[in-house]
Amino acid sequence: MLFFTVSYFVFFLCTLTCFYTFPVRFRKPLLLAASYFFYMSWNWKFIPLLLTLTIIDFVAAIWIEDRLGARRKLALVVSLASNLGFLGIFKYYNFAASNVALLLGFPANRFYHDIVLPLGISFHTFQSISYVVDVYRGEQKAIRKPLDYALFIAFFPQLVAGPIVRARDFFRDLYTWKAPDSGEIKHGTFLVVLGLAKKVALADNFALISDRYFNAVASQPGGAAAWGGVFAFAMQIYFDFSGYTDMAIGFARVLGFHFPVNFRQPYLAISITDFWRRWHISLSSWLRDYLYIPLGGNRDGKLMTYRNLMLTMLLGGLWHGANWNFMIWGAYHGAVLSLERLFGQAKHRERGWSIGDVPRALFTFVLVSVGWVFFRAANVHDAFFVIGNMLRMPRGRWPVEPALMALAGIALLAALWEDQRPLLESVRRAPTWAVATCLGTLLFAVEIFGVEGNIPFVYFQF
Amino acid sequence: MTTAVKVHREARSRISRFLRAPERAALAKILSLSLTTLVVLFLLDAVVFRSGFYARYIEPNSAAGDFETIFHADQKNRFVRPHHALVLGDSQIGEGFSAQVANEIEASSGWEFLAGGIGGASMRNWYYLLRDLDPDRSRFDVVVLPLRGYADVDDGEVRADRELDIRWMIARLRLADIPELVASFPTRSIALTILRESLFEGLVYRRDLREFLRNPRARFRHLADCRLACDDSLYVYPGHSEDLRGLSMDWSTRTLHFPPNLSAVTQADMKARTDFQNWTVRGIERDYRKAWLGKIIDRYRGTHTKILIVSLPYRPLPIPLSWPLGAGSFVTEEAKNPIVTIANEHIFEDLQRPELFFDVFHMNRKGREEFSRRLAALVTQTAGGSLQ
Repeated sequence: MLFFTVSYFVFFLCTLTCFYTFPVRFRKPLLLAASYFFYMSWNWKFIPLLLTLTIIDFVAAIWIEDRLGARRKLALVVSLASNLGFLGIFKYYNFAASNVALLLGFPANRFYHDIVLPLGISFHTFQSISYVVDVYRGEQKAIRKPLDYALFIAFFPQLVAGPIVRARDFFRDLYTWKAPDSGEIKHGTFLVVLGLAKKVALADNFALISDRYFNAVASQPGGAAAWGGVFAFAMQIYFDFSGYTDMAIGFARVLGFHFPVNFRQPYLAISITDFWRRWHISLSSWLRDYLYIPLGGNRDGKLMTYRNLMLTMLLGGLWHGANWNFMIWGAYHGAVLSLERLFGQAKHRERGWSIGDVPRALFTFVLVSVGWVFFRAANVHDAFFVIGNMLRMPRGRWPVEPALMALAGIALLAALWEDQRPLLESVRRAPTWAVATCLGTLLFAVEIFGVEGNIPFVYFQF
Repeated sequence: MTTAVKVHREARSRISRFLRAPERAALAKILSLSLTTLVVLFLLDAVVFRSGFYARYIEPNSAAGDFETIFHADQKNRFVRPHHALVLGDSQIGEGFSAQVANEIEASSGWEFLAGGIGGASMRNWYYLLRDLDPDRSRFDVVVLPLRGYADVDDGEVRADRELDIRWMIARLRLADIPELVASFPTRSIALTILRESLFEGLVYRRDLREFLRNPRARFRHLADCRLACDDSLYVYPGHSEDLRGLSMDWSTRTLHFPPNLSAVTQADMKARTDFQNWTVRGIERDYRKAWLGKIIDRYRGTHTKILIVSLPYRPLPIPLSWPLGAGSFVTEEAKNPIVTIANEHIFEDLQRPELFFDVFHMNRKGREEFSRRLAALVTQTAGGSLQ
């Protein structure tokens, strides 16, 4: 059940109706049952895995809170080992096995096993880890009700591709839940429709172009084709993932839950440091809080800071997928972040973007786009082939049609406007008929510009 | 009476209390916002597409464009003679029947023909075409329904489930048609897609609209050219000049012998389409014919219009196989209908010759002329009631 399919909307409408009409005591079990049903609609075989991790982390957190000294640490280690162990087996086994095989002189598939990646494992394991670590640090109370904890892990709007929700945010909503007011409902519904428009009308159209390019890079030499393909992917991944996130946040909001903002106009970033404060914020802040800072952050001198940045981004790259492309992508971002620190260019703006930022924003966009080559290319060889072509004179045909360029331009203008004046605040205050007209128009754009067929969200593979 | 009022008041008060709770109020707000949004979407779609505004600009060489071309051609060449016949069909009629030839042959008899053969159109599409061509059920003296043989043979394709049908008739679809149209698709997922596409017509038009937006000026130019030429060219179209002379089949070994210079793609297509091994009568095609041709026939019940059912020359080679024509078959049942005339199934069989076809399905210019001439004669005879 993809978020943009009719079956998902039917599922959501049923869940929503039951949620708001059932007596209070049935609401949590209902949400949990709906979440498991949602997960099982993808692959019911991974429910035991989800349940196992849920039980281990639930018990471990209680142990950590109730015990002292080495036992606390042991519970933490068991929890971390379980989460990372399962993640390692399902996500990284074949990558490691093929590299070991090659090192030993065997064919790459010598130790290969046909392992299916459980949907959303990267997200729910990180969510569990942050919870257990927070309990260990004393920043979060251990949850004593198994049903509540299971709901935190499996809550369907964020189960498969985030955003990575922190326990304190989720349980604050759960324990002080109140029905959303009119502004919240408009906000949530607007996000759902906006996300749908980003995904179906924009991302999928750009996907057609980027797929055409990256699926046969060798047959499309030339700088224009390369830049066009990379630009299309840069647009695709942004509209796809931020569209998904908008929908997730919107669905949660109309149920009375508040997910963190995950994107803040990332292509307006004026440095890579700024980019990571705007892109996939729930992941970058997770990496900062649970990896970069525990490694020492910037506390132990410049060299150690660079090392920590490199390690964090390398592991961040590896989190996205088990292959060398993601490792290089992570290393590339780590290196650029380190260089920015070295030259004092790690700038960012909290608010307000001015016309004077254009050159830096353009340069940052180019840097990010070069990184996307490794993210999207089928293998390292293809990635370097594309980069080689990007460095050549722009010959060949620009593959992005003027109409799509215009749509991207409109989206950029909307992002600039949003940066100056929060759009969602206006939506909350607008009369219902005005919001409905705006949403109806957005849906009309989805109807007309939507690509036929269901193209899955990019981040579902992670 | 008093009890009824009490019960009603109590129920109203309960509902009111139920809805006043903040949770239910939130639900009501969500549902009303969603519903209003859908209404706005529906209205926008209706203004642009359902109103017929966009249909004026669709690509003439598309499924819906071909469908509409029949109406444009009909408006241009209004009948002047006293008797009128319509020949419905798909590309086999589009290629195989010429209204011009038929009209020339029957110039003195007072008959005039309209060719309603549209490439890819199904029997479901024929119904909607006919409904709008003849809204008063009084225009045609004869409506010809061509079949590929009288036995209701299932060749593997479930025509009742053909999702693409909506693309031909989208500009003719009315809101009132939706329930029946959706119900006519046996597979639930396809029926749901049709429901979505018939409620929000932009989903069907969007590919064409995107093409249009890519170069609006070119579309306007093409449309203007087409209004001058396409509608007439449908009438004067002479047909393909190539033929399949040299094509033969050894039925004992089921081997096709192809004429020289026939492309590998055409050869493969022919092989695939002459594999009759798995063709059986399972009732799927029968039900489909009964549903849509039955609707066409029912439409003319009690009118002066006669329905003529003919078996088309539909292969470049005669097929030495036959399928049973059971008691419940479409043709057998309709034979009892007083407004229906069933032509002899073998009347055009001699036209199934390689020299009269240009591919595995379609007659060439020579075949077109011969078939048109003979069908025109058959139609005039039908009107006289002299057919067996």
